[in-house]
Amino acid sequence: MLLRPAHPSAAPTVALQAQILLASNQPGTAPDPRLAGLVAQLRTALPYVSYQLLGTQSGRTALGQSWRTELPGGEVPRGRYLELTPTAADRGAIQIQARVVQTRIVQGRATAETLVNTTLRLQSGGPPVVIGGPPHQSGVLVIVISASTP
Amino acid sequence: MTTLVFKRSGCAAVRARLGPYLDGQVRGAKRQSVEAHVDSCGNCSAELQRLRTLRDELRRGMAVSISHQDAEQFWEKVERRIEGAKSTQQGIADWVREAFQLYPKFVWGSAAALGVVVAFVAGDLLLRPTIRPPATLAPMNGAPRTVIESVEGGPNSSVFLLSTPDQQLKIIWVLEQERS
Repeated sequence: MLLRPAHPSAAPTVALQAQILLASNQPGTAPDPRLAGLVAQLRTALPYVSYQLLGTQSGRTALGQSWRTELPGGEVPRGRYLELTPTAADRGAIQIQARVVQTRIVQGRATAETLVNTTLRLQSGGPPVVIGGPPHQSGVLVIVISASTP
Repeated sequence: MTTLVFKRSGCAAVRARLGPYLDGQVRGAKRQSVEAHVDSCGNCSAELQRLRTLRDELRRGMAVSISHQDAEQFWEKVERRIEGAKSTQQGIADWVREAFQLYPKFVWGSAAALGVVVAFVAGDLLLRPTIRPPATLAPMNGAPRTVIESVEGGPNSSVFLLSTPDQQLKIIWVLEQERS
């Protein structure tokens, strides 16, 4: 089994994308046509009334290197983020460690707290994985993560 | 198709309130109404006990470890169980939909309800599992698929795994505990 090592100098890069949606039961604006297929799929498991695309973040990083993007919401401004670290890539399969972290004020001090820490295996250009649940405004965040290799 | 059947005359409404009831979020006349119903309904009484047990487990931050080599088999088994439970998913989806409508923010108060849903869908799926990823990437045969090799909640959160009925989309759902 070939496993490319997570060594920065020799590692290929991985393109990462995070679509950040707000799911809520508030009547929303007209459905975003870019999300039509995804929202229909999400609704079969998460029956929220509206899904609104808050933003799409993308980047590229080498194996073993983290890519981080800010997420909306949380107690502390700019204190909530998604961190993706590709750890291996082999024949179109990409292993990624994903963390959602948010900063909270505990006893007057800002404290970073992991909400979820997961290891994923995605097919390059294949179906995404979804992390959802962190509250935001009148709903919850739904983060759609996908990855691809050159 | 098998569906979950509740006695609609009151049971469904009461069951939708059991999670918040356990968390002290149902007060006054509604609380008395829930208690009166549970006292007189064996099924709902049993459901309340089940939710109470589940809630206690959630709050203990139940963790489970699976040996390195068993991780792949574990998730395959989970997927098989989910597949096997697909016939009940419509009923479950209806119940989830009701919960979402009642508790759109889906905070800790409804965690027990969702926990039961997950327990129905995948009996072996435990909360906050701690599973080491395999050392190598197994080749993906056939259609592209997403694999969640490990997942762990934080010190103040729990996670659930869900999937769309077509199994195409894997969802990690994070529930934050309410802070006092």
